[in-house]
Amino acid sequence: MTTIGLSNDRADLQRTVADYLKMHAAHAETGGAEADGYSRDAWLRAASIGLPGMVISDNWGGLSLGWVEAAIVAFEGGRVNWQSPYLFTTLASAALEEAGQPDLQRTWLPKIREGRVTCAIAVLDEPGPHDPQQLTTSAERSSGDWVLNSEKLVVADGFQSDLLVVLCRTSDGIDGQTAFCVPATQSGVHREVLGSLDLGRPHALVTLDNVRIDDGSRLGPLGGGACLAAWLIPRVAVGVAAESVGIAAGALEIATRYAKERQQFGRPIGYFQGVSHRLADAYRRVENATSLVLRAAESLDDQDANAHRLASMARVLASRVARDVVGTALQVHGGYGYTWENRLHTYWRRATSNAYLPCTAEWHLEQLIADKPLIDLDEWEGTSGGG
Amino acid sequence: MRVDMTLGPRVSAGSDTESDSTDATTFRSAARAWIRANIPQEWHEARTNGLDHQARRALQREWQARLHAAGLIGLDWPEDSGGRGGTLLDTAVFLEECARLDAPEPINVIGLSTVGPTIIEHGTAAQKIRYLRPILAATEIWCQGFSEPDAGSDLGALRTSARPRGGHWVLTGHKVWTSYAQEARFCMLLARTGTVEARHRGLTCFLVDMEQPGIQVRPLRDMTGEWRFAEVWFDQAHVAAENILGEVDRGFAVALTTLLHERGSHGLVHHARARSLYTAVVRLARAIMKNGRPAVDDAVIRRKLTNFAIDIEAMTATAYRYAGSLAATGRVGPEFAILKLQWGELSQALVEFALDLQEASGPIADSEWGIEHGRWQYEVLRARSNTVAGGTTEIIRNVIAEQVLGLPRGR
Repeated sequence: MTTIGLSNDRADLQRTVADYLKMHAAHAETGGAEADGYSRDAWLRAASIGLPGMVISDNWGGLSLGWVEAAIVAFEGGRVNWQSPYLFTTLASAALEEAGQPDLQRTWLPKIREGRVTCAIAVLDEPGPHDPQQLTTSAERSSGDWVLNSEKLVVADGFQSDLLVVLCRTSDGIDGQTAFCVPATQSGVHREVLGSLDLGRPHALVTLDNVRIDDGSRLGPLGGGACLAAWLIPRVAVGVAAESVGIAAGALEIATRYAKERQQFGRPIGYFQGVSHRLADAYRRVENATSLVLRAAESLDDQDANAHRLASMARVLASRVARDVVGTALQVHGGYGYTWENRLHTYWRRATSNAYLPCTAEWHLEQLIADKPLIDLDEWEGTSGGG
Repeated sequence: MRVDMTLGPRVSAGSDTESDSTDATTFRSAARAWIRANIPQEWHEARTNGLDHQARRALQREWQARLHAAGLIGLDWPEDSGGRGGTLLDTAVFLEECARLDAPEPINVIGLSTVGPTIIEHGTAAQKIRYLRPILAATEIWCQGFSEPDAGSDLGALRTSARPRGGHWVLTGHKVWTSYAQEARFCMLLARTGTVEARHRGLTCFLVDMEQPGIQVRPLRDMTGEWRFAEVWFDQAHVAAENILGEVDRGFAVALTTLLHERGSHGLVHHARARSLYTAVVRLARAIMKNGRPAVDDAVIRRKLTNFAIDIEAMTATAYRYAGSLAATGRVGPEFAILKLQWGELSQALVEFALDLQEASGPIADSEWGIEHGRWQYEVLRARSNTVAGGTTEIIRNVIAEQVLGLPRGR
């Protein structure tokens, strides 16, 4: 039984990260409107407090922390709209820990932990919902190596990152998927940045044109790609959700400050209930979404059977709350909120964009709707007996 | 304002043992078994056979008698007041289990949830000895006289006056929305002892005996048709000086304690009510047919149910997070009130959705065509009080805006 003490450790972690980001994530690094992706230097500095190695095991010098901790960092990053490769690098490093062969781990995890290698995850072959059956990226054996061919769409951070986790088809059927780690410098990897709503996290089109990699780059067993994806999907969901709630919390703080300063009719606008009640509702929404994200992260750490369900719920709610609350913050700012100069539009861009990161919030909602046990809270009635 | 992402200890949790501390788990499972075995059978039947109000009140009385006999009441009250000497969290866990199993509300709910805790905090030794045990035993029912016709949310505008005369005080005025006044032996009353201009600083809290000639109670029929609340007139009613709760002109501080308790451990139960209500709606959606199939299989209905489930899961997670912070600090924060805010709006949406499921039978309250003997037609009326009673949603938004976000006191 795990009991989380008013977890001095976690409270400390949150404070440490918040203080770090306040000091180091200066405006230029935190979604300055002209920003184009993340800053390498900032990420190397973040390694000084271990952020790139949050979920990397101590074997490779990482902090060996869980998903609650990883979510706390994502939340704090969202709060200041931190432009960094944190999210997908953390998730990819977790996949490497989970499924990588020892040599592959040895090659990459220490460098990831030092902030020298960043990662992206390339899944989608087609626009539209994630559908494992539709995977067309091919990986074929060729004298002991693999040769990869495909186009991967909308790869977040894909243009800048050094290492790509790529899901490929190695034979027909659901069991015919296999994941690989592909260095971006490998011959035949072409990347094109796509004009993206989220300026701090542009998407890329990644083309694999007869990319040759050795069998050691395989992530997990042959045909284990769907299984790895199923493992990764709730973790991506919780990571994106945590960042999204952080975005909402940050926007709410900015708007609350503004409502105390901005004077109209001789008073701060926060005096008027048309403003204050919207902010109170935004607070309620942020609190609830925060609670659900934490609960989902905990359930991942506890290997709870409900973890994927809670992760999907957190993903759906966090997406909604992020857009609603940043929308409220923009509204409270009036014309100033609509300007390029005011950084709130970077919050709006990320809140909106995050809803569509694979797997999209809508995809998760549809999984929940289709999941028969989900909408029964029958266990609630205590029919299962005591305790 | 800063949203705290960290968790307290997970001491209160719904359905799984691993989230509770060991003691809480033991207590929870014992409580659950006891509650299941002791809810009067007629209570569950009352859900579906349209039991009348008086019969329900009788069952609520029976329920509190059983709780009292088993020592399962006043869990967080001191032992020398007849309580169990536990924590607010014990109460929260117990109430959560009661809501899970759809147990009745104890007959003396005002005494238990607001009056008692306020007396424990502000009462004299003599007041504690005199009043607390009978609240637990329900031998004396309490009501709470705060609202007036011209002062609902705005307690600073209260006009019912109390004037000293000899060794006692004389009360004159008019209270309204006073739940269970017609059954109450005592009333915790807020009256003006200072000037009107003094507003909140001119109020005093009294413990008033309702059985005296100067008090007239007129039950008010609520929109469900039941007689749950009342108007109360005070015409030269008497209250002894020793029955002032707290200090003269400091009644507002006493009232704040009351409101905090209303939203404190008793506020950590809204998520449980929401879960029970949701479960009943899902059951309804399984029973009702749509296009030849159970309505629960319909894509649009599933989407709506799923969205409710997400909101309820989030609210539950918040309740546990707050329970953790309550366990760690012993403090009820003003942010706890968001649970009531959420419950008010969510419960209304849920019961209206339950009516939507019934389509053309929606307006049929009770006949052979009626569904579940008009339960949902009753609920859709009853739920309107959830955004009004115990602090309107507007007042709660003010509380969040001012006390949590630090915005100026506004209008």
